Amino acid sequence: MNNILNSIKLDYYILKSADLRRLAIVAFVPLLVGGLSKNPPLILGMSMFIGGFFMSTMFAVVEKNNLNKLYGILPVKKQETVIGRYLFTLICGVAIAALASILAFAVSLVLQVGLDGFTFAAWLSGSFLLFCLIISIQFPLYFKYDFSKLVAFANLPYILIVVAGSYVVKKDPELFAKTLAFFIQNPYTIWILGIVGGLALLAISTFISIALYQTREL
Amino acid sequence: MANAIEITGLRKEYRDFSLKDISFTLPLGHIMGFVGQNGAGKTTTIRLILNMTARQSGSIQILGQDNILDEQKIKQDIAVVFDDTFFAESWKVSEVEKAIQGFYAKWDSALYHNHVKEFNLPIDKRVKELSRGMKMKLMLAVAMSHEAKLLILDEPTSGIDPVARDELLDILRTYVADGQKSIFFSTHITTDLQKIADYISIIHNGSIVYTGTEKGLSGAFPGVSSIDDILVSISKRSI
Repeated sequence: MNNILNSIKLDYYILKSADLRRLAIVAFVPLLVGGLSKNPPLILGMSMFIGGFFMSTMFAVVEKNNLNKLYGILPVKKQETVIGRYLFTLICGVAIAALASILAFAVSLVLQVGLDGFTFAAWLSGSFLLFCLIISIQFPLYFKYDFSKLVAFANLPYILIVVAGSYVVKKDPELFAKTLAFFIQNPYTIWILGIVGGLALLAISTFISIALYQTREL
Repeated sequence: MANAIEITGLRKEYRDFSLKDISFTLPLGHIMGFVGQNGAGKTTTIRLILNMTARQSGSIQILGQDNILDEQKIKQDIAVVFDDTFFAESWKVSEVEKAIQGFYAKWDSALYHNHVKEFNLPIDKRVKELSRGMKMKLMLAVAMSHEAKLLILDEPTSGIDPVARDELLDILRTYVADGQKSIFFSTHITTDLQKIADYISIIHNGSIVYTGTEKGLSGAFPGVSSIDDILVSISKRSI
């Protein structure tokens, strides 16, 4: 447990050493888009989307600075490194969600745009699910392969998901409408899907990453 | 526990290179120079010792323990300096300690700050602002701050000036002075070794061609006066 906490601390310093100007985009662009479109919940969705991709910066820092050598000499198990990184990422995800929620409410007050509980819950849980999905797909790949070799292909899975999703909605719009109606009638299911589903994705992804990272030469 | 390192029949195969039955022993309290030309297999051997890469066969005992089964315990007691820094370039010297001290049960913060002061490392400077010699000293400061019993150095003197090299050798001599610590020192700059090494292992094309005391070299290679000459004669023989 102690080494997992140490790994979280090390990841904090790794992320801190990244180009933090990029982090400003996580805060500024969603605020701008949410404000201009008069759709404050969009701040949540965009922040979690950009934040999800930003977290993979840690792997770029590791590669650029030979930190795999550091991991090779530290008295830490590979699985502790992996668990530490997922937990740190989860903490960052929760922090981004909290900050984006405050900004969304603030913008809705300033613009006098109503933000009801259902809409907020839907955006929050949906954004969290999106964040977890991005992490769950990218992290196992980056634990196995070098960041620089993979970065060009890392977005391919999301493109496939969007294409497949668009195809399903187009082919069977009634199914999509029924699904939407179900969530409106059973709002608690949005929380279950977003939060529980997101955490489940992260858990599965953690196991995959541990298995892949065990075989990686440092 | 009489040996710091005990390697027996170590094999590792890559597509274009292989380590063949590497065996040698470094007794506790001594310094071993691990010599070979670039590409001879020095770094691969060190990576195998640290379990950073998987071996095909053989065994590695570090401080009397298996390097895979007891990896975490062993890594508490060993310290490593590579030829290039393994800290984030934008970390300050003070942040290096904060980032990694928690991993070591015997981390001594006062000792780290003493080393930083002794090596004239500016505590608020970033790693990227340090010279190559200073980066090496920073790695040494970290390595020597958690009571490591075995110090492993992979080409620490390559690319640093003669003054910094002599400083490093002085630091190493002081480090082993209590007779409880050992150093495994890989290099292709052989003049460094004759100043401090008690034992020498020579590796060529993935095979050990000599392992023993520094003094025993002249018996094993009669008529050859320096390690450099030995390396040249081995290379000529293999051609």
